[in-house]
Amino acid sequence: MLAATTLGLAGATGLAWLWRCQHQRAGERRERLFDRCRGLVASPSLVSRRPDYPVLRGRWRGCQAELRPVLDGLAVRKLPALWLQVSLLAPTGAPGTLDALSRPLGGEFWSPSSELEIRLATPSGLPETVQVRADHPRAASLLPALARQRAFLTRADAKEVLITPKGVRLVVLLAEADRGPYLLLRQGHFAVDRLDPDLARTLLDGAFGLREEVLSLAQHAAA
Amino acid sequence: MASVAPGAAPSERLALLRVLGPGHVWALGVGIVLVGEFMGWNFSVAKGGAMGSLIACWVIGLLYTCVAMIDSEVTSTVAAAGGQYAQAKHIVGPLMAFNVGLYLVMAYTMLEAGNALIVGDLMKVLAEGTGYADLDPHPFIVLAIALLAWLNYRGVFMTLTVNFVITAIAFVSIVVLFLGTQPWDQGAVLHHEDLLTGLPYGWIGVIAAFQFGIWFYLGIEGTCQAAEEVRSPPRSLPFGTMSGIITLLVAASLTWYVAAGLLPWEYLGQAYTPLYDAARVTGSTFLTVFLFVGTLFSAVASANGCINDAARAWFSMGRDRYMPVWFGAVHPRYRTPYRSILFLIPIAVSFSFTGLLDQVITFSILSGLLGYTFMPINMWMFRKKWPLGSIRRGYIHPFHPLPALVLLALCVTTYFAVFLGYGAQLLAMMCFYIAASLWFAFHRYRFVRRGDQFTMPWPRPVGY
Repeated sequence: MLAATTLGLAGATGLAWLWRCQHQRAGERRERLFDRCRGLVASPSLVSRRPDYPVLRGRWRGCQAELRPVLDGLAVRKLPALWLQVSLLAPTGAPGTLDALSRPLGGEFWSPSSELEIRLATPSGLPETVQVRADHPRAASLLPALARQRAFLTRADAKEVLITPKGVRLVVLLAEADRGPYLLLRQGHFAVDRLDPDLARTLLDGAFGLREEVLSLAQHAAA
Repeated sequence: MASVAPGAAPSERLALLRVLGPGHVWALGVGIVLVGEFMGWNFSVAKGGAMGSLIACWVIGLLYTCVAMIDSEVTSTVAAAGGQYAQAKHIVGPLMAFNVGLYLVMAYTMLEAGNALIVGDLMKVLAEGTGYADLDPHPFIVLAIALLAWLNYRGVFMTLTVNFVITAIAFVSIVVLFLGTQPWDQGAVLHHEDLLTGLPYGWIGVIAAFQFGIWFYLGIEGTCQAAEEVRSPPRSLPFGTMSGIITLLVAASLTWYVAAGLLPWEYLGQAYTPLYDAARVTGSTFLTVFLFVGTLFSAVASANGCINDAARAWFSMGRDRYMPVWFGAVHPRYRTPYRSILFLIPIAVSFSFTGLLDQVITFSILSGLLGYTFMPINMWMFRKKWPLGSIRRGYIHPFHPLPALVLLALCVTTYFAVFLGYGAQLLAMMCFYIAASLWFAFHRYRFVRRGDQFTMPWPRPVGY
């Protein structure tokens, strides 16, 4: 009995030690996500959220920029997803909030889409799976800017375009969890290690272009 | 290490390997489902004797084969959605989706309650083995559920290796028990010739045993479902599911073979931990300890997965407004469906406290069975509304409508089996789901955003 108890305690301690080591290594690996992107933005600042992924902040072409990974494992019977939110936080002059969410399931807790009461028709040219919502009828004036996001919204990894008075955001699918660990243990295990700076640059430029479109529309409406 | 390139599609691997990695063929049976080998299945022995239990095991394997075939066609077509809940939303409607969501929640919550009950029972057995009789298992039940709920609440990052070790030990313990009983030397440890009897209640007993035959496989359909964001599951999905069922069939047969060769059917039919009890009968301390650990690990791993899945199903129903949206909240820091997790705890604890394992898992079986009954209806409507050629299907299952008819017939037979021994529970569950459906139809439905239920770019259904 004593031997069994000792063995049991040793086994539990070993598992706990193994967990702690791997947990630490996983946190360190996540912290490296933006290693190749820090020089991309001006005045970079990395906000650590261990064991979650960090957030990269800085300035992009005069606007406050933020790259935020969001781990989403809440959908039933769906592989956990790692989303990348690329936001430019600068006034846009938009008359309201307009959100275009691709392939909505209803469980996208990181998106304001479900809180926007007004459903608008998806502009022609955009994929049928894009659902457009707004907080106010005036936000419909932003639809032309959304329609010009066709190139982005037809990407396989594109998920959301968000326009608000305070800024704009593009969301893409950075990675999906490996199928095996999910089937076995409902674990979200992602193979992504470091974010490609070319992808970050493309998205930041895309967000900047979107903001310019919205500013132009706002100025035209004011004129 | 992978680096994400701009707009690049994931690297292509063989479609089969995306579903079946080197260890996946056997692994598809572990996790939530393997605990069914350690407890619950043996109640089928009380219904139909040892041979009746084996027959039920194989017949219910046919039920799950039909489930795999049907589910694979719909899952491969309802892309980026995943599971019967999303399928019901698209093919039948919100009321069916509401019921399917409830089936998922109840099936997994009752399984979680059963797992916690086993943990309490094992602690009691351990205490008796050390000379302390009359240990109250209830605190251990609460501790097990509370600890696992806390881990899920916090979104504690359980590393892959630790989880893998736990589930691997559980699986290996079955294999070790099988080898330890020296099956190649009949009579050395196993005594089938002395213990196996005919059918004690005749063929009606075999029918009655179907109920707990479900327990061998319950959850396998969810184990194989993992929809992706932008790609339909590959054509190898049904093969992956079938491999899992075959794995379980082999494991179930091994389990039956060992247990039936060591324990008389009258005892086996009411044991809470049949494999652990079988190990004790061998007289081997090593096997006894190993199976104690294996049973404990499988119950804990299963309970953890159940909390995860049940909470997410309840959360999804909150997000879809089928339930109060309060349940659709996500913890601001831990990013977990914390309210759903907390809400389901007292339900699991209260059922665990009954101490009636057979009745608790009967509730789980009934909820699962209702989900399987929905599948042939779903399949029939799917083919009717969107005939072959009208939309792209990733997989078309053969011999339709034969699998749907066989599945429906076996489900009806299993309801009859439940009625034979647990008529009150069957009635209670039916009343519960009818009452819940009435509540949804007459009260809750007005909150549902009807236009948001259907998100697939499919053509208008035939006849609409």
